Amino acid sequence: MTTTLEPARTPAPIEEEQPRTVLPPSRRTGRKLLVVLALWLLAWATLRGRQTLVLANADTTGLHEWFNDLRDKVQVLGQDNWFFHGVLGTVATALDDFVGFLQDHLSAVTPGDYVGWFGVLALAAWVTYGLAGLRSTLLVSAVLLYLGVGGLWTDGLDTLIVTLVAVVICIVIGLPLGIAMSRSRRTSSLLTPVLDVMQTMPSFAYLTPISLFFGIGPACAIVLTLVYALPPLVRITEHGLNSVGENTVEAGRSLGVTKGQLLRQVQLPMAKRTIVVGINQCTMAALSMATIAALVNGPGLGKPVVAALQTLNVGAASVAGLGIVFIAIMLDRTTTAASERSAPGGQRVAAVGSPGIFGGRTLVLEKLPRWATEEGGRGATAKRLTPGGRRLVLGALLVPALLAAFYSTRYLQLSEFPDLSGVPVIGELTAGPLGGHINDITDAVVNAISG
Amino acid sequence: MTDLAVDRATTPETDPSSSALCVRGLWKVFGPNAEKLVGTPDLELSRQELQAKSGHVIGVRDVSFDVAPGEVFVVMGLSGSGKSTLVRLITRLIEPTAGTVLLGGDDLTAMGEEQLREIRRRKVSMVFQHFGLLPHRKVIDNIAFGLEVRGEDKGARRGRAQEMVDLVGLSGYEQNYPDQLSGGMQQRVGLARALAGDPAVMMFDEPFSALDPLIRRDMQKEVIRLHHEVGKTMVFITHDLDEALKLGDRILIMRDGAIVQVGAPDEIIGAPADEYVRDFTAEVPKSHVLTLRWVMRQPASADEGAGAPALPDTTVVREAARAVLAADGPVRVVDSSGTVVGVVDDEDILRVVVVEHHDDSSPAAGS
Ligand SMILES: Nc1ncnc2c1ncn2[C@@H]1O[C@H](COP(=O)(O)OP(=O)(O)OP(=O)(O)O)[C@@H](O)[C@H]1O
Ligand SMILES: [Mg+2]
Repeated sequence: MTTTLEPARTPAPIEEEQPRTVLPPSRRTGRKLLVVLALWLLAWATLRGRQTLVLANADTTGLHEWFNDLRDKVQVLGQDNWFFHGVLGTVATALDDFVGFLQDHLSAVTPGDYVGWFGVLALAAWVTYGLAGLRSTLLVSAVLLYLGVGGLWTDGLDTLIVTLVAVVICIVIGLPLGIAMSRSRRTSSLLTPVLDVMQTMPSFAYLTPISLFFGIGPACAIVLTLVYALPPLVRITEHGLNSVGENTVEAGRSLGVTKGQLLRQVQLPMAKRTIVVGINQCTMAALSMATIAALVNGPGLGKPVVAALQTLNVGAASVAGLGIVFIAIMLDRTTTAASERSAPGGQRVAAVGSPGIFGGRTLVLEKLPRWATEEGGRGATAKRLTPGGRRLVLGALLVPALLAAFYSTRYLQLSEFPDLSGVPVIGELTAGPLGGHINDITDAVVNAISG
Repeated sequence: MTDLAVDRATTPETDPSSSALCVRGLWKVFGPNAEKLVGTPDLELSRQELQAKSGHVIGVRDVSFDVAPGEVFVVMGLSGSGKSTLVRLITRLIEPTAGTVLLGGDDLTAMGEEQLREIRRRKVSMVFQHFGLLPHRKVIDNIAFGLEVRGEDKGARRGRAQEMVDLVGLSGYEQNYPDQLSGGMQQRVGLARALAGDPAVMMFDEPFSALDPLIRRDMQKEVIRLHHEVGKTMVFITHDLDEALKLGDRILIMRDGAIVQVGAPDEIIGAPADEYVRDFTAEVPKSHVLTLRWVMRQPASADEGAGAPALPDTTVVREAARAVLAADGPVRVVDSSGTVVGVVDDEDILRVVVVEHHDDSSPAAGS
């Protein structure tokens, strides 16, 4: 070993992340304000009177025209350009085909080869029971039955399909993005404004360009949904990873973890709760695009809502709108319950992330059935099956589920949801009467107000 | 007394290649342009002046010391004096601005990422104030984490982790999750995790300050016991002087990032380097720490105290008191080779014991 020691040598630099340096901010506020003011004055002096005045309705500026030219070019090029036709076209076709495939098998009413409503209900209940538990199963069944009774079966399932496909794509894209942002401050500061734009740009503004690129239909609906639903997932993932305790990360580093090990064995498990919240938010955002997706011929519950709005039929719009709300509740509670179940010992991880700070969820959803999540309701204290026992029960239940699926391909009654409007009580819930009631109430209120 | 003071702070006298840990000229300056400051006169400024001038904060200022193999080396100082920064610089959890760290002869500061990781996996481990356990893993898997990270197979690491569980007295809690344990037990998990990799050096950053006093005392005993059993070199950070005196073979006292004094406990108490250290040690019962070396005087004649039995100069005053007071005259003090180095009489002993007693009782009772 060396015996001569140079006292002040700078160590070999390594890439490993250092604890953030917190220093008191330098106070130069006054100077910064002056610079901003000077820039404003300069802009005013040079741009005064040029394209800064009020436009008449049909007037356009250079900027408007440039955008419109661009649109025309894309439209002309679109036929054989490698990017627009080759790449985007392929993506669009693949998405359309995939959604079409799911629609054929799950939502379309085509007795003979494909699973009917009864089979879908049974399979959905089985999957939910396996992943999330009994309460969630009841909730899922109730929501699916509401869709069937309300005459919204096909549209409702289409919404589910489009939403789930969009969420899966969001997860595939969003998780790596969130991870990249939490790792590098530069990536984070590059992507943050992009996410801001995606989230705040009114969807009507990018409706047309996207439909230009992807053609109208399911693919366009999914891409629209992606634009709006991706940012919350990315942001919350980044936040979740960043808020994993410094102490734990430091302990990991002191044991010599690689970056990959740190991510897989420390950060991701500890941020899991928060990431699930991100996925929930992503799902809710995706559902909130359902009506807008209908404008570009996206399949789903948005269609009856838009159609009803065009005829000012508040009742019919509300029935379909309620369907969206119920689907939202169902997805939220089920994913939460599923994540709680898979966490080792439940509440343990709860202290890590604090999902409570995300106000994104609407108040209504907060207040609606908490009991449906196993942890929130009495499910937490109820006796649980052992893992082995649960697997046994699940295996046994698969038989009736498969039988239901099989018979639903044979019998019309099990394939197409029966019309229950003639049945007492339940009949009141079908689209016609329920919509009628809501219309009556609306009319009464409107009359009362306008006197 | 002061003529016996040994100033070890400025000149570490051990040979760097034989020590377990050797730190030379270590600096940490927090701030955007810290590297550029190295070697400039700015670094001569005090902490406050530098911060006011350039916004940089000095975390650790030109620290050098050696730790011998098997030694328990305690680093002490008030809050903000740079203890945590120092201990993290050693394994480069925080990147040093300047300086060298040799661990068992290997220069850590010259290493690449890969080598450094290997050192952290096998040679040094750390116990943290806030435990830093993984909440989603059971106790046994937390302890085995370091072994998992370095790629040991499941059977081997389970076996080793179970040994560690038994060593730190956690048998029966292997399958619990950390938040089902009390603070003291969680820190035992942290201790077991640090021991599991069988490192040459263990570092502790105020491991017990989050625990209540009784548990803390238990854990201190535990560390002393473990030190006897496994004989690791330890660097132990604390701001509790009692803890430092109980555990430390040597103590380093820091202020504002710089070393104030390094020495054995009796040197720190017997010959505080300055007012800061004197204040620090004012509350300590001196008779529990000072040895006869610090209270003896030169024999008046060659045969003074010849009649009484001789005592080694490393005897603590409190333990020597009974023998000295029982003897009729002065008692001889001998060093390790048996040479007479001084004598003590009742007066010398009482000066330490009674003055201290006087200090302890309320000021109103004095004067
Ligand atoms: N990441 C950082 N960025 C800027 N300054 C820092 C950073 N970390 C520590 N410091 C500063 O370095 C000094 C030493 O901090 P350090 O944490 O080492 O003190 P300490 O002796 O461990 O105190 P305590 O007993 O409170 O733990 C403090 O003044 C602190 O403000
Ligand atoms: Mg500290």
